Amino acid sequence: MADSKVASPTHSPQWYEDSLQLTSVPLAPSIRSKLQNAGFVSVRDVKGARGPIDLARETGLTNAEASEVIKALRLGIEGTALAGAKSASEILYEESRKLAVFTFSKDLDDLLGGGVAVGEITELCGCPGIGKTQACMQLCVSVQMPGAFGGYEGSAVYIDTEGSFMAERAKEVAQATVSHLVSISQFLPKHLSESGALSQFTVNEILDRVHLFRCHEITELLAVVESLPMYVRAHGVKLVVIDSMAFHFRQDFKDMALRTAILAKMTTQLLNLAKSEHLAVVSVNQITVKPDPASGVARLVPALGESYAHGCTTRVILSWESDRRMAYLFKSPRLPRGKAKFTVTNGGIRDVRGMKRQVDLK
Amino acid sequence: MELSAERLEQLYLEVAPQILDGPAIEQQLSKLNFLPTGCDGIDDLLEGGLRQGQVTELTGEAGSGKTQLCLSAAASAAALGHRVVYLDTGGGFSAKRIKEFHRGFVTADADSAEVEQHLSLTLDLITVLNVHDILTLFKVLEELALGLSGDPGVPGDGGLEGNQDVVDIGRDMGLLVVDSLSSLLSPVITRLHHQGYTMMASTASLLRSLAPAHNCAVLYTNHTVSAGGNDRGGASIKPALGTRWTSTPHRRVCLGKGHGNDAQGCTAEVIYGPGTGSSCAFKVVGDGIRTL
Repeated sequence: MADSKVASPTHSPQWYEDSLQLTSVPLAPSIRSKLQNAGFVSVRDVKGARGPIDLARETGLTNAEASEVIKALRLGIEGTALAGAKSASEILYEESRKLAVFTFSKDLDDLLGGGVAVGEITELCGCPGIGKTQACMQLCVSVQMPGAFGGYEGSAVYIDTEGSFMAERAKEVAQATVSHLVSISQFLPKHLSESGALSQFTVNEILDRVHLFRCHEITELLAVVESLPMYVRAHGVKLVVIDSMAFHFRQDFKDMALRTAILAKMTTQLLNLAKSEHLAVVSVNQITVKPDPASGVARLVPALGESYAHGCTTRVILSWESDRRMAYLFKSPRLPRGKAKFTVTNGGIRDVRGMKRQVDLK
Repeated sequence: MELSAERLEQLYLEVAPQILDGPAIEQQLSKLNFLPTGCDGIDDLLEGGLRQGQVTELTGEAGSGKTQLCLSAAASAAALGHRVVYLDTGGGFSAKRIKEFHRGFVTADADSAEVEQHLSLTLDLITVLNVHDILTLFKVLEELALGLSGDPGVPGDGGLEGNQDVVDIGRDMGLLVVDSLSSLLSPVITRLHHQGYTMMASTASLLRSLAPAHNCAVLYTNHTVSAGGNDRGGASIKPALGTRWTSTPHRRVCLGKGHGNDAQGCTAEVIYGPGTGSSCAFKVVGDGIRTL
């Protein structure tokens, strides 16, 4: 019988860890049932056994299986899981200081509450040709803007699955943004304009700081996402764009359940990354047709299914309304639904009125 | 080893389940609170609000208002002085939104300094934790349960190095929100993961035992998946997590959004549990959730 001496709760992290039930530890079902039949219910019970041979004898496991169990228990989470908790007051303070990545269309930025938000996944869905890639390229330039102009001063990772990234086009967008900032820098307070805030913001350096990954198949995409945490830290990346998420997933998959599982895992990894490294993630999705069972009329819906729809934090659907490009905010934890007009010009994404964004000068 | 009769009886009392008679149960029930969600129509569907000791599930399509309702419930529970633990998996928690909901609870002519102070107390009562995988969720739930059963008289001996609040979090918890539970469980319920159903069962038993044992209300969200509806207009979506999960919550409320891109109206319907079939319409606005 396992030694179930329970020390008085000193609330040390070790006490919490030891009290964890074995059902929460990843073990093979046959091993778990043998442990439970022998009366081992919590981590403490197993640690009370005097080693793998003892454990094996008491439970009927083989020596190898018993060592596996003891090893599995060591790979627990460091400290208490509750230690990372924050109060809502701290979060309010953090939110008030959060920066957003501009799209350079004021209407669109207002729709998004300032721009593409950091620390979450923003999904852009739309038909081909609506401007998803253009918006992504604009964001890759905006994220690098100097802090004096309200920018994030970070570099960008562009994961291209469709081959839609055009370097010449990115150069045009960069040139337009640079000339825009140069023209308004005369309005900067003196100490900032003389500090050479724009010295690092030249077209060549902007293009240098967009890290392009071309993924030809899904395994490459998965590999890139796996290696992102290290890459992001090494290069000061503040924006990750995946253009597009849908492309590979809609082609090769016969097993829908597997597709859903892989998408869910990738979404979790990206959200984790966005939160821990304080960066913005933009994923581009395609549009597909879904027949409405009630009326038989087909509707246009974002691709990749219902489960994927729940993975993104904010969803923006871009579509045509007669001649105009419109953006609809479809899902957001903070903002009401709404729509905004935008257009695509030589210089990138702009307002329909042709007015460039009034950048806040510090 | 010989056991005396007294020792045997003592052991039996420790492990035997507590047997209650009718009046004792009624007395226990009367001490439980109903936590308002912030929307009257939905409180009516729940026959009073989120009841402490019960597990309520919110299911619905993306964008139907599940996260908004969770935030509203957290704001109103904290505004009444209950401690709220909010486990966020999708990054949907927004303190700014809590502030907006709080503004909607106070009357228009309230003193702004008092409102600020009350807001600050409300925000301090909400503890947010980002949870990304199911094993972390288990750990958190078990730590909360252990903290709740800890003896309030035990002084902190600094074992957590200044994390005495961690213990306190579990102690007075009045509402636990998990948004969203299905995003943690769905990835493990696949053929690749033989642990999947075990984990689902463990989660169900952890939630169902946490609520009544420690007098807290549990609210969690479940997303939806395609149901492959037939031509006769059968349901096109169904709650995720499958039929095995159906009886885990005490009540399941399904939210649906209004159609057309401009409509802000949504519906809520009880699809499992007491009051099945009743529904209401609501709308999410700037400072709250209004019944239509």
